[in-house]
Amino acid sequence: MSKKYILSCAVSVLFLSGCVSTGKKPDDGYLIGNYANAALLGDTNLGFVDEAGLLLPVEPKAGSVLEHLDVAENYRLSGNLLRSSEHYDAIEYLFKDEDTEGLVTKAGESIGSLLVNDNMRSYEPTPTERVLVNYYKALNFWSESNIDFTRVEFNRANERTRIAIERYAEEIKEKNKNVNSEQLESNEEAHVLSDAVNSWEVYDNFMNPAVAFTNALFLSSQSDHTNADTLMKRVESMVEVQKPEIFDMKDINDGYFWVITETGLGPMLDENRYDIPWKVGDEFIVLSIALPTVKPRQSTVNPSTYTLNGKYLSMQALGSMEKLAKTELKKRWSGILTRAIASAVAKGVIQKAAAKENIYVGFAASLISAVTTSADKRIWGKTPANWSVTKVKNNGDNLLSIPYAQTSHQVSLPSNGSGIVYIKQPTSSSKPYVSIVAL
Amino acid sequence: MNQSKILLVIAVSIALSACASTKPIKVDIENDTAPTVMGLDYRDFSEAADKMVESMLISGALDHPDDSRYVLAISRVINDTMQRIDTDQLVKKIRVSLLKSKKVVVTTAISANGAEDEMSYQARELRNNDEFAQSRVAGKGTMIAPDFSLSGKIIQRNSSMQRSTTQVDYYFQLSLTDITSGLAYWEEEVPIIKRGSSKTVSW
Repeated sequence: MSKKYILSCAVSVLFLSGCVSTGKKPDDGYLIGNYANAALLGDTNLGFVDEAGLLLPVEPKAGSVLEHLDVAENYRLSGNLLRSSEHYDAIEYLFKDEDTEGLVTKAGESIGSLLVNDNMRSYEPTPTERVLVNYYKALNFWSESNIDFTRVEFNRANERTRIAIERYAEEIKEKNKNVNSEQLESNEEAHVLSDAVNSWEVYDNFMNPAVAFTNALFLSSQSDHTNADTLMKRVESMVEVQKPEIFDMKDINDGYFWVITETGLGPMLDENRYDIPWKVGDEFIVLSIALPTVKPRQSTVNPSTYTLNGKYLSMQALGSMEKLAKTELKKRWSGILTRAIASAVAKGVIQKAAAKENIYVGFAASLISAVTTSADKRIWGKTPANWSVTKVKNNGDNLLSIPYAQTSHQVSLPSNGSGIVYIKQPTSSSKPYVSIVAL
Repeated sequence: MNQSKILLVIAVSIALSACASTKPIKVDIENDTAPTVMGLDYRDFSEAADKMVESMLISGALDHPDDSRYVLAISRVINDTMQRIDTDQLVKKIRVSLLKSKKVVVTTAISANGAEDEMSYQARELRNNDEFAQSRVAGKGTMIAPDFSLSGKIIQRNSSMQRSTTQVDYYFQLSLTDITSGLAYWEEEVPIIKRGSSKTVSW
């Protein structure tokens, strides 16, 4: 094959693949608490609503993990726990598909990633997202008093955390073995690109403290006190404990409510890009690198404004989605950086060959390279910004008040017994979702 | 030319295999040669149940001094795995085997989740109902309280063996408790260990 033929193929790939969609339309229904409508819209877009408006059975739709996640969470917050769990089950099926992708598919994605950008790869949900799928299912089943399935889902969440820890340790070992020192001008450039990431404050592992905390309460409610205590101690080691009584489960049967809140909007991903003109021989090329970074969204919800019988709740911080996202990105960073640099070098080679043929083709190749270079900014947008918790005595007459929009949502808590009051409120305009589970 | 032919054959094979459908077949459960799955299937429940029953019968815990049968109530069997299974898949097999052994009879009037068969109580609501011959309605004090209760747990623990292999340990644990004394007269644990690809989760 002639050099010209290879070159025109490569430039064509760059050109045709430049149209990879990376953005998502903002979900207004979720932001204003119109969860049922948002869920129905999502179900319709996925093709699970027939012409008469009736819901069809949920089936895993390949390539639609993020869409399934959004619909699942909207159904959960609208109170349709059955449909929510069906979507979360479909997502688990898609996780398995992604995990067991064939070599041909993986190779194709790697080539696409190299020649275009990481958005050519099928979306691989992060460990945090995978754990949250099982966590939300556990909450669904617990709300429905299906204790067996609740336990199964918490076990699955723990297993996903274990797998993530082991898998990333392996990947880091492999990447360090395979890094080609010729791909990096010097280690210094790589360090400069990693400076910001290296300075992030992250968790030691992928364990979500909020998931572990709720799991501990579940185990304690099932009289599995040994495992509950072990898990709660791990949570205490991960968070800055300001109210130790919250982590004490000895009085779980003495009439207490643990109020767990998910508030605000979880972070999105943005990119830092670097376009570096470079002279190679007699030709000029542009080395473009785009690296993802975590972009927090402003939280308009403060759970300390919630009141119980007129008294403000005093919350203990339990987990931060921003910190979890940074933990994962930091763990994956060497792989992301290696792929980004390899892609920049590969595109640079194409540009040089193009420029050698013809100055205009070279210019076009440089332009296409710059346009197609983009970080993978896909992330699940329905996670909360923060998890918080407090513990209050059940005084027999408990009215919880949660402000939203220009009003407030009033919830009467059970007059006896212990329980978890689980609240999710994405924005100050959205009506909060409240679920009460007896312990 | 040869290269083109090879490519064509591969393309046609892929196309044909994509259209292939799996015809339903009836599985011979006594001789099932299908590959092992990482989860729990009926073969695992059958193996665990058989071993449990054999152990229970050999232990002598169910040997009634006057050769009559003990009454067994089914208590909680907890599913502590990552599989959405019904623990009745294990318990039912054990109950059937114990019944066939003529050493035990199971009460359905009481269990960990209430009466398994509500009819025992519903039938008693017919007392003083003129529509029914009262001589045929169960009298008071006729139900038999259990002597033993069967409780247990199915546990799953996963561990990574090598880079691409996961080991899944399932433990079937059962206890037979004398209800009068609260003592466990028989206990058994049956492990079922599987190893497979760690590419994805075990459920």
